[in-house]
Order: sequence, then structure tokens, then C-alpha cells
Amino acid sequence: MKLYRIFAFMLMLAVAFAACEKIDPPYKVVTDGGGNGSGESGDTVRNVLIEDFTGHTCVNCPSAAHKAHELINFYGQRVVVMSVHAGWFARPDAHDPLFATDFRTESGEAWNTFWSVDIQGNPNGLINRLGGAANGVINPDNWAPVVEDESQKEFLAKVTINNDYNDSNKRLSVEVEAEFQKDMEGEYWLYVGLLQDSIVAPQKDEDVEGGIDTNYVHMHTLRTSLNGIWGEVLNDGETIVEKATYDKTYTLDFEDDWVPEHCHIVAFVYYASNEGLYDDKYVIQVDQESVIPKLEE
Amino acid sequence: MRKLLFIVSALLVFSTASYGQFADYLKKSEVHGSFEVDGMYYHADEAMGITDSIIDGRNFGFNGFASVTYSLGKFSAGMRYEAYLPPIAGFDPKLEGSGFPNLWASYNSEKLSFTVGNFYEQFGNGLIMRTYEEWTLGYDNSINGARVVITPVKGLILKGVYGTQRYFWSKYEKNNRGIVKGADIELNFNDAFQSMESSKLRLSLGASAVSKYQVDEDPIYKLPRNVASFAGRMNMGLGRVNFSTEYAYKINDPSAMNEYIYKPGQALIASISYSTRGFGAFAMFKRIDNMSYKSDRTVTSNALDISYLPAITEAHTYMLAAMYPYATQLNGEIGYQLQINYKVPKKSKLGGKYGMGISVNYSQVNDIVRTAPSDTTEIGVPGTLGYESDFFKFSDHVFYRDLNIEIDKKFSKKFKGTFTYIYQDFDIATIQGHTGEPMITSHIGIADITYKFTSKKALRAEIQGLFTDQDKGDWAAILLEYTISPHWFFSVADQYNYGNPIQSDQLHFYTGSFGYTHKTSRISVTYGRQREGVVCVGGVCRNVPASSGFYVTLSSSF
Amino acid sequence: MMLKKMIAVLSLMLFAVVVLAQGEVEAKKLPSVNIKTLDGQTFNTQNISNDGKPIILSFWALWCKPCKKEMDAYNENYEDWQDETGVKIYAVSIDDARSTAKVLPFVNGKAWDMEVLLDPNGDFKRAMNVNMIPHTFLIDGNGQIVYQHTSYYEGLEDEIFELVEKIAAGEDISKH
Repeated sequence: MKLYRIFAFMLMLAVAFAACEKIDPPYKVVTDGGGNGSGESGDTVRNVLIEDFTGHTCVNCPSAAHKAHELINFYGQRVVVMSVHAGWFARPDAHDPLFATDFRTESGEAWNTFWSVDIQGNPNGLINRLGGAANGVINPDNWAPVVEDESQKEFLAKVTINNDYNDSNKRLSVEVEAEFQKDMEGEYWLYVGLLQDSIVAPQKDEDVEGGIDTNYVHMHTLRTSLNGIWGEVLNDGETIVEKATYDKTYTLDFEDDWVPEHCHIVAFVYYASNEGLYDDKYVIQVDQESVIPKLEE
Repeated sequence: MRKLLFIVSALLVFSTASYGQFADYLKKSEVHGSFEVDGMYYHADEAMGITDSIIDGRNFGFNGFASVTYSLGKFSAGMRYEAYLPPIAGFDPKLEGSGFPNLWASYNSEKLSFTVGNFYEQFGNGLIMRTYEEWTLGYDNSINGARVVITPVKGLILKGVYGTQRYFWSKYEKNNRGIVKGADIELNFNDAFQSMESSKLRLSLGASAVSKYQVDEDPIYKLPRNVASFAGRMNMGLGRVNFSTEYAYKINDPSAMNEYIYKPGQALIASISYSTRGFGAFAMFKRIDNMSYKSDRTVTSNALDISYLPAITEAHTYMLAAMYPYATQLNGEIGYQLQINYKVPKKSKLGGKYGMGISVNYSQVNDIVRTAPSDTTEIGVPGTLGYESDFFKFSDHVFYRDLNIEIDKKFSKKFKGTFTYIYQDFDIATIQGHTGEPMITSHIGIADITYKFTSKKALRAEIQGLFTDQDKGDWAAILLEYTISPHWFFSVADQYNYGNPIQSDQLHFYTGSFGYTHKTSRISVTYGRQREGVVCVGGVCRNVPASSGFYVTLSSSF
Repeated sequence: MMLKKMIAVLSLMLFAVVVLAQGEVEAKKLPSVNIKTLDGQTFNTQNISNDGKPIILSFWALWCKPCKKEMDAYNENYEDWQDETGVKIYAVSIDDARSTAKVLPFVNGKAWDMEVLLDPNGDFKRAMNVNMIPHTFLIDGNGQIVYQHTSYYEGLEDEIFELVEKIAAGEDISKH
């Protein structure tokens, strides 16, 4: 008899102990792409940069691209994704025509080394380059909470991009203006790059039959830099005062496989420091603008 | 700091001054311990593609541990020191560092056992809870917390555990991983009920519940913060037959491992054996569906596992037979295993003077059948139920198939041998993620012969061949090992990939080694090439990259 | 961090004192750990006994070839050894859930006569500080561990039996 009582007691204990939450569908927070107080991108709020380090022979990378896309759906224009083809999985394969294309960039390779990305495996990414050189790399499964965290941070700068593309000589003129919202100390840098959407090229993918998606659509692919590997410094260490603006202009001659209709200019401002334990390159604002302005519907 | 210094000096004074009274206690106390040091020195080997620039100055690897246990009557305490400076090639780089990952103290009496600190625990077969440590893999998922084990009456055991799991060197901080709690009950009928004490039927039943808590910081998904799992088991023996089964169920647990699907998980294992002196037969069935259970939903590497779901296929240990080891597909697999052991009696026609052992094992693992959860949703889409699955259906997709036949025979007092044939199908695309590569079908033959010169000196030779048209093609291997009991061994081995379709990769992987053992202390030195491969123990596998150089192991226990 | 180191140093000192106090006395008793019998019943390791006669306690696993050879060698001689010394052999399998269920049919198939126990989560193994297997202990009539050895080479069984004979005759082999 005693035994049964103990049994019953244990059962009750186990049920109480093993708390569980059964989630009912829908399992995702439903949004229309305007999640979380989006407003006009970057005009009054903090945007978030996701750098998705990827490669065409990385079978798990499409799932990371999917996660990035999911975040764009959720945050709308407040999230800017930059796909950086770099490292081991991005190397062109001389023996395999499917993967002979080189999507790597000088910037991407340097960043890959700086943050030790491919050593830690792909896919992996940086969110606003948080965490410094040693702890910057964030697993795609952790992007969402970090992006959420970053999106709530203070609005420090507004980045405005103006593109003027001349079809006849395939030359793009870019004007970028950074307007700081308060007095700030330290060194701030501006990086400007070209992203291209809708590149159809083979990609290894564990989720497709045969492992290779020959018509994979690569989005947000970093094509080139307009101002060097790390961009250029804005304030040379001088104190920035509230509402100070910095203007930079660039020109870029388009190569044949850069389709202007699918291209954007991405620009971000980051705080750079070599002091302390980490080489800090923390992004305080990012924005992007189509090369050919889209017609308003 | 000052306080600590004070305590230390006080203890020192105490331990010297009151030594006399203390000595009695101390005589009753015991200290046990063990340690192991594995060192590796790498050098460049152009043929294997290892250049100086890849080694980049880091030409040493060092893994070491020491553990000490102190016990005094019902009380015991212990600690474990580990150092990976840097870890040997193939171990997780996150292991780099040194320190004391494990500290514990425990009280054990007949009815009650209480442990605080790091501990290892297993409920039943481990389907929903097993923490363990496997040095050869650099794996340790011990729980840091508290455990209580109560035996209120004979035959009944109750267990409760609470804590967080080890994640390399990262200390638990608020919300950086989950918290695990669990309870288990086991009833052995033959011990608990006098009427069954001498019954032919041996019966035990058990049940367990485990839950993990982790915050939901994800803005997009609605994630369950508490994920519970339940399991029930039975073990029954009646004469020559033994039957054992366990079923586990886990509620919605979207994670990086299952790509954030919300389907509940299930696992079932069942095995039955019949055996009598000289004959054993065994059959096992296993089905796993979405059963990865980790205390951090974002981790995909070999860490923080709560559940333990090992492969049920034969664990091969010969060099070439271990080339393609199967690893459990936690997201879903269904399989079975059959085995027969038979000892042909001595002095029979086939058995000869000493008898002969025959063992046959067949195992097969397939994918489970998945169907779309609804008309509008595809299979496996994150943020949906994922899929539906018919419980007992085998998919056409075979992950692994293995038939092995082993015969061991003693020919004379001096001469004996083991002969093995293995047929294997290995879906490298699924098991090792080599997406797009075809199924590897291989035939393996092994002769393992021992010749005894004197009662202490023996020579053992292994001759092995692996034949396949896929992957790296055919292999041949030979091993010679000379032993002088109880102290010495010397061996040379070579694995030759003569069938590699790429001519420049037709390499010899040679090694030479020797070792010395004295009681529980052992040192061995190996020089040579290590081929790239996968080492699996239980449910965990580790990729070992190719390397070339010296390898030294020193271990002891006391 | 500091605190951890201090605790470590402290405990090490305590251990050192204890070791000193123990002096040359090496004998140890078996710990009390719950493991399993082949038919799934719980078995406490303090019940390992042999009426004052010697015991061989050996850790092995199905995946360990030298271990199986060692057990085979013991099994071949078991009858003779028992007649001469009354020795009892316990073979503790550290196979985990992957293969625990296979141990019983394997042992019967091999016609082994020793007592076989299961230690699926290595609790006994850890308590005995076994790093690698095979690892064999010799226990005297008073339940004291008087000898241990790791690894197996052909012919080790003769050595082990010599020691068992000495233990049975009441000789002190701790200096061996």
C-alpha cells in the first residue's frame, strides 16, 4: 500500500516538475513586414546590418539566407542584409564549371580573416559588427534575438544615399551624407559598397535533391567596395557635434554582369577603436538605396 | 582575499596541530585518482596537403586531465582538472583552455544519496536524459547542480536532478543556456515484492520526466520556454528470454537542430534476446523522430545534449571497417538489428579441438516517411508543424546497411585467428553531409591472426581489404603487433589507398608505435600518418583531420 | 576565478595531507555504486564478494577487442582456477545504451561462466578511476583491492593467476 502512495506522489511530482508549454499555431508572430515600429527606415530609428558570410559550396548557407530573409520580412527596411561571399566555401573551383565563378571581394576576404569567420564554419554572420574581432561571429540561429536587441538601441546617425546612374557610360555617382544626432567622441568611419540581388548561379544546398541548386537566386550579394576595404574615416578623431553632417561622393563604373536594376548601394557608419581587448568596429547606422530608383506604385 | 588567506592558514594550522586526533579519521579516508596526457607534435606532409602555412606554427596539441576523488565513510568529494593547450587536431577549438570544469561533493547512505556540483546521470536507456563524459571525443555534458537518489524501500529507486550543463569552458550566466530538471522512478519487482523474490519472471518498470527551461528572446518565433519530455520503460526476463523496451515523447521543441519545427518528438527502442549456453540471438528495433533534445536550442554542435540516442548498428573497431561509421540521424530514422552468436562445441567436426565462435550481425537504418502537415505547407518549413509521419513506415531512403560475419577459431595452443567479412552501404550524403555524393557500397575482409611464441610473447597480424567503387576507392591495410606480457607492445601498420581515383592521393598511411605498461600506468608513442576520418563513440562522432607526426599518450590511475 | 583556484589549492592540500597520513597503506575497498545485472536488476557493487576468497574484477566492453580476448582467456581457465583457488571473476561491461542489450546474448553465446554486470553510464568505472579498458583489479579475501592492471597482452592471464594464487595463500602482494 505504501508503495502505491509513493508511486502516486512521484507521478504528481513529475508532472509538476516537468513543466511544459505547448504552443498553438500560428507559431510565428504575424507581421506585414512592418514589424516593431518600423517607420521610415533610418530617418528616426536605428537600422540593423546583418552580414551573412556565405559561399556557393556551403550546403547549409541557403538556410541562413532564409533566416535573413525572414528578418527582412519582419523588420522591413530596418534590416539591411549584406551577403559576403568569402573564405573556404566561396573559393571558385577550377575543376567544376558549376562553381567556377568567383563571388569573393577584397573587402569580404579581409573581413573574413579579421573576424575569423570561416574558421568557425559557415554559415555565420555579424550583426552590426557587435562584439569586436574576437567575439563578433554570430550563428544564424541567434541572429533574431540580437537583431531585436540592436533595433531597440539609440538612434545616433542618419545616413542618406543619393544615386545617379548614367546608362550611356554605365557610370554611377553616389552621394552619401551622415548626420549625427548628438555630440560624439571617437573615430567614426563610413563604408560604401555595392549589393546585387537576383543573381542566378549554382549553390550547394542540402535541402534540394542531388545537393545542388543550379538556379539558386543569390540576394544582397556584395560586389565591390566604393571606398576601400574598411571605408574611410569621417572625423579624424575630432569630437562630433550634434547635427554635424559629413558628405562623401563616389563614382563607380559598372561591370557587365552588374545589373543596375538589381543593384543597391549600402552605406554604414561605424565606430572604430583599437583600444582595449577588442578591435571594435561597431556599426551605429546603416541604410541602402536602389541604383535605379523604383517607381512608386 | 584576506578572508581566504585566513581560512587557508587556519586550515594549515589545524591540519598540523590537531594531526593526532585527525589521524584516525584520515586513516579511514581514501584518495583515488587518475590522469591522462595526450600530446601531439605535427609536421608538414606535402603529399597529404599539410603545409607549413596550414600548421602556422601551432605544431603542438595537448590534451590532459587529472581527476581526484576523496572519500571518508559516507562522504566523498572530487574534482577534475583539464587542459587543452591547444586541443589536438579534431577536437572542438572551444575546448582550448585549462581549469577545473568539475567539482563535486556527495553523501551516500543506503537510503539516500545526495550530490552537489557536477554529476553524471542516466535515466533508463538515456532516451531523455543522459549526462556522461567521453575523453576520447572531448565530450562532457555533465550537469552542474544537485542530485538526490532515494531508495525508500528495497527495489524502488527515486531520482531527482536539477542544474545546468557543461558547455566547454563557458560558465553558466543568466539566460546563456537552459536549465535542466528531471525525475525518475524505477521499480524492481523481484526486490520489492517478497512473493516475486524467487520468481522466474524478472521484471522492472521505470518512468521519467525531464524538462528544460530557456528564455525566448526571439522576436519572430513563439518559442516554448519550458520543454518537457517523458519516458516509460520495461525490462522483463523469463528464463532464456529477455525483453526490454523504452518509449519517449517530447513536446514541441523548435530548435536549430530541427530547423524550428513544432512537431513533438518520439523515440522507441525495443529489444529481445534469447540465449542459452553457447547460443545467443538478439533482435532490436528503433525509431527516432525529431528527438534532438539540447539545453540550448541554438546549438548544433556536439554539446549540451540532454537525450542520448546512440546508433544501433555494430560498432566496428578494425582500421578499415571503421572507415564509414554510422551516426544516429536525430531528426528521424527507423531501423533494426539482428544478431546471432554461436559457439560450435569443442571436439565437434566443425569446432575442432577448441571449438569455434560464429557471430552474424545485420543492421539497417532507413529514413522515416514524412508527409506535408497540410495542403498549403511544404515539409519541414520553419515555423510550422514540420511534417507528419506514419509511425512504423520505412522510407525507401536507406541511410545505412551492414552485414558482418565473424568467425573466431583457435587452431592450436599457439595459433588462433578471427576472420571477418563485412558488407556495407553508407549514405555519405546524409550521414556526413557530403551533399550530392552517391551511396558508398563496400566489401571488407579482415584476417586477424595471433601466434604465441612463448607464454608471454606473441605476434598478431591483421590483413585487411576494403573494396568499393565510390568515394576514395579501394584500400588495403596490414598491421603487425608484437607483445611481451605484461609490459611491452610494438607495432607497425600501413593503410594503402591504392584504389583512389586521383593518382596523387594514392597514399600510404603508415604508423609505428610502441608502449609500456606497468600496473595501471601506461605510456605509448606513435609516429606516422593519421588519415582523415570520423571517430564515433556512442552517439557522438568527431571528425579527425589528416595529420602527420608524433603522438604520445601517458595515463595512470591510483 | 580566484575563488575557484583557491578552492582547488585548498583541496589539493587536503588531499596531500590525507595521502601522507595514509602512508604506505595502499589497500582500498570497493565503493558503493548501483549498477545493473544482465537481466536489468539493480546491483550494488558492495555486494561483490566471494566468501573470503580472491576476486578478479575486470572492466570490458563489446567494442574492445583486447578486453574480449582477456575474458576469453580467463574463461578458458576459469574451471581450473576455481578448483585451485576458489577465485571468482566479475566482468563489468561499460557498454552504453547502444549495446547493453547485446551483452547478455553475447556472453551466453560465448559460453562465459563469470559474473557479468552492466555499468551503462560508467558510474562504477568512474568510482574506480578506470581510464581505459581492459582494466583488471584483484581483490583479496578481506575485500581490499590489492592489485590492478590496464591493457591486455597474450599471456597476461598467467601472471594474473600467479597473483591470485598468492592472494589465496594469504601472501601480501602489495609490493608486487
